[in-house]
Amino acid sequence: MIDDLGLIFAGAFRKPLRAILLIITAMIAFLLFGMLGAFLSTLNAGINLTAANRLVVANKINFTSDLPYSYIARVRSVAGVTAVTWANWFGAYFQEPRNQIVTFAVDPESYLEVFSELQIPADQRAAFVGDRTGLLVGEATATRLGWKIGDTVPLQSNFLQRSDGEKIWPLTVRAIYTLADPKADTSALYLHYDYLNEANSFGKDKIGLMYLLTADPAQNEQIVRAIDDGFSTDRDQTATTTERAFAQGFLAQLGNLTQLLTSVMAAAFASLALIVGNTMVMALRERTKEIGVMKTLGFGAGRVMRLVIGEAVLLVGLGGALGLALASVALVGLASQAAAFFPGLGMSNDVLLIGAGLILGLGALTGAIPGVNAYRMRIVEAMGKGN
Amino acid sequence: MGVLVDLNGVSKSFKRGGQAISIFDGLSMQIEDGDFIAIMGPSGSGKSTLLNMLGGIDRPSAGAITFRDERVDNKSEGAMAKFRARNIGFIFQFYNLMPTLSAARNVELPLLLTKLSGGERKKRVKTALELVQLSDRAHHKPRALSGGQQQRVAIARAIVSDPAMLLADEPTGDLDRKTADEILGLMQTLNRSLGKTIVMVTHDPAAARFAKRELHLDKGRFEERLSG
Ligand SMILES: Nc1ncnc2c1ncn2[C@@H]1O[C@H](COP(=O)(O)OP(=O)(O)OP(=O)(O)O)[C@@H](O)[C@H]1O
Ligand SMILES: [Mg+2]
Repeated sequence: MIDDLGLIFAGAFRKPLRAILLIITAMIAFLLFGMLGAFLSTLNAGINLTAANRLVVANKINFTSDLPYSYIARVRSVAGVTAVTWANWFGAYFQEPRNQIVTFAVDPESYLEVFSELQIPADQRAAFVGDRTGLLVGEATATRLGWKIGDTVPLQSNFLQRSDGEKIWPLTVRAIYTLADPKADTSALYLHYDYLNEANSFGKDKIGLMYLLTADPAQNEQIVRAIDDGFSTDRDQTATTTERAFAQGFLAQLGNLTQLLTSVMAAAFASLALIVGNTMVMALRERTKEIGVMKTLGFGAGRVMRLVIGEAVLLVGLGGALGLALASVALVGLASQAAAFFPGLGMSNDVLLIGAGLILGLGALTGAIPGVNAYRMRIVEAMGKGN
Repeated sequence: MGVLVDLNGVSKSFKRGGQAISIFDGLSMQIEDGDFIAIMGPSGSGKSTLLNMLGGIDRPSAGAITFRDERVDNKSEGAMAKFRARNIGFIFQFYNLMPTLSAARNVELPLLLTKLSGGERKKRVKTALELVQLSDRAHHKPRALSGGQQQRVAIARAIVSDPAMLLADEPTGDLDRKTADEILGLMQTLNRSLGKTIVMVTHDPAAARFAKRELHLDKGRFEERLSG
């Protein structure tokens, strides 16, 4: 088989321009696949992290509108609710506006109770809770920016102004959290809600989203109704959902992205299969006599078929590998710029694995028809008159 | 000198437009080990068809073909391919080299069907190219070679795996007189010093004179003339 690689290579590059065009075609399709696949798996990774007994309370108008602080106590009193916390979008960037970092202002104690999956060493946890200007940093961001415990980091907000006119919010890194799931995103930062609320120049005593735990997922529906009904006559009405539905609803707001992206990819691969398949069939027809000669020399039908299929796999494979590599590089570049919207964006092993499977599948599929033609070709007919 | 190939009562017919056209009907012949036969005859008399059957590319409709006491006409496709690889070297009118492969890689092709190591293959390719006096063209692609040089590469490819029999279908049909004589001289050397049995189809009486015997095929029968 090693010896046949030379033959496969020579056959595939018999017409170099044609081979290069096929490789580029495959490369574009797999570049698209790699990029879209990474976006999808990043989005889905977020959904998979949700807890079944965690509910989200948002303003009914939309989830970016805020709610009065007084709602916290009212939600806490609903039967079946075991813990309540809240988070305000801070919209931070570090040094330059293009270095966006997902940042929330939270109530430390209750937040860490509701989001118990955040793993923090006990001393760091106490230090963060005890320091009003303390910052809780995700491991990914700490690694990326080289932040260590005790560092003072000047963050700025896209839309929040300090009442003293200063733009910079000095914060001290007090704790670094990790998550058990290695694929989970640990890029977000957390600061104290109290710090934000006092220093903020507008919108005091407003909260963004409320998160709460229920005693039992089976009671979720009943609790959702109790909360939303309880605020139905207030000026700010609420929309309560499970965290999972909230995350999925967020995706739905992006226009049923998954389905759209999947059909774009399917269309790209269908055209790739048609182009490569058709080209391989034509290429083989030009080489009918060569196949006849190979068989005359004693190459078996199966081996000739494998050579032909090998050429398709080689071309799709070179293009696919280039496309996936390009996507990985592009994603590294995009990750920091898109950090606010797609935290943890990057090429995942899953996408690479599916990509490798697609390369083999598409190569075999597009090589199959010319391969079977070569298998069936009879020597006397292939050689024709006048050998 | 024993019998290398035995054709016994071989018939061959083709179906054309629902009608069977008979090319041979009960043809018998023997090819001695070490023989050099030139087959001549009018166009359409079945010379190529005969060569194809001798080489295990085509099968007779009836009768038996035996190669060194081994029936070849009733083998499976796969066994036929193995038989060809082991015993037969083919030389064509239009050389039929792989255009994408260098001369050396073309010559190496039949060795890819053996279990020889890469190093051993290289040695044999070198020897074969020396034999046809083309060592200095080993790395040229066919399109950079003249017709005569391409046919030498094809001959090197035909002998590299040391088969007992060479089958050549109008090997000089595309070459000028001088080049043709060089190629025929080379084939004569292969026959005389290496003992290769050769069956060559030709339209050219001057080419036929390089063989030990000439057979004329017409209307499904042979007529023998001893070559001078
Ligand atoms: N695959 C085939 N199907 C039908 N008829 C065939 C086939 N192969 C050969 N024939 C017919 O068999 C006859 C003998 O053909 P063949 O090619 O053996 O002749 P030839 O003696 O080699 O002729 P030439 O000198 O022109 O090469 C011809 O009439 C040819 O048309
Ligand atoms: Mg012929």
